[in-house]
Amino acid sequence: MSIRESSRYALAAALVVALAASIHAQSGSQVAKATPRIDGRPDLNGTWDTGYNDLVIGFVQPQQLGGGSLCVSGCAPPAGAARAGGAGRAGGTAPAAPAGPARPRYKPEFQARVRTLDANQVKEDSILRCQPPGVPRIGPPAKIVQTRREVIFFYDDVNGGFFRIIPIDGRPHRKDLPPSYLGDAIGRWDGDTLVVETVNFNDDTWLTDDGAFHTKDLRVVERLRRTGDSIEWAATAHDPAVLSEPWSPPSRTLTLTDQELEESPRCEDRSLAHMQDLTNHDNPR
Amino acid sequence: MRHATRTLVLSTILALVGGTTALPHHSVSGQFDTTKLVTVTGVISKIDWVNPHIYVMVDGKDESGAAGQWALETIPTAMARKAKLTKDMLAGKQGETVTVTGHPSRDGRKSAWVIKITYPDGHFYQLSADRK
Repeated sequence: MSIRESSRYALAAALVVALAASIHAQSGSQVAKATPRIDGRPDLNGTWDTGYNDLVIGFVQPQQLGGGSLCVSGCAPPAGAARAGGAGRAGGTAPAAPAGPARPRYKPEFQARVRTLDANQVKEDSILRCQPPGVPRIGPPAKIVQTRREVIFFYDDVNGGFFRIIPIDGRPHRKDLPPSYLGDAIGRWDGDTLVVETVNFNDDTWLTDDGAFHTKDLRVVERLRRTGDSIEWAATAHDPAVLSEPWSPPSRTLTLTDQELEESPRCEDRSLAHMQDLTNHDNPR
Repeated sequence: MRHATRTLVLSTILALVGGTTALPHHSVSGQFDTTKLVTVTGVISKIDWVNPHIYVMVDGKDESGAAGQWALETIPTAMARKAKLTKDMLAGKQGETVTVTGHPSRDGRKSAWVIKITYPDGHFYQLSADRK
């Protein structure tokens, strides 16, 4: 083989290798779906599975049992099924949500109050009377509408179909609003993460189900980051007057869904008057 | 020995399954006696499709003969929607007799937390784990 022929073969081999590498790179990019963008920012628009069912009922996926029968809850998992924690699982890789205690930690002088409220939850917790759950107790949004000026969060909550309007165009917090259940929110972009700061809460809501009260000076920071077809949601509650440290609920991973929100049926409590135990009424969102 | 090993494995699997399917939330044990079961047989007169829990109203009686309207409480509407269980499906055919098993109320009312509703043709909807 001449030197010229050898060079020709070497060139052909190099081209084959380059072509193979290119094909491999393209298939790799198809596996890791790109994050959609709008106006240069991650596109958060969509309806999102927040994992409510997974969190509330542990492992349960509805099962069609044949003959028209259906298991909605308390079902045995089908053979080979994965545990809950796919869509909307708690504890994903959400940004800036350090693992912390499951319940907020209070300064010593407020711990007795927490215990008393917890022991009388059925009487004291407004969430059991169909009131808005507050933030961050309401959890992540089930639908997001994003424009250049604002982001709107919609919730699919058992207490109602709540929403929050979050300016992202530099507007400051409003000064003309009374304290409210869901507060006054503004947002900004920190790179590809939407950061939402909410203040001006009333003090009717709790941070968790067990007497975790807060003051009107509560400040909540939520962070949402979209990657592909999922959003990592994290939140931190700051209330230094009563909490010994900021508290973060479990972070959540939301997944894009085609199951659209529907009008929420009215909330009408009929149970509280019949409770024989005032202490334990968990309401994970 | 082999049989014992198989039994141990099956028991472990069942224990794990049971542990992961239990409903961990809300007022069930505060309002209903989860150590007991009640069976109500009757006709569905109304479905109250409300939150936080749907109510199935049944004109019927339990196994002790306690007759009247039973208020049978069950899952939130969002959970039913996710499972594609509609109000009409739950209501069944007008006038047909259904059998409902559940945990009875702790205060003696004609009320229960629904575990399962079975219709005359044999199809059923399981809406909660049996915690007994």
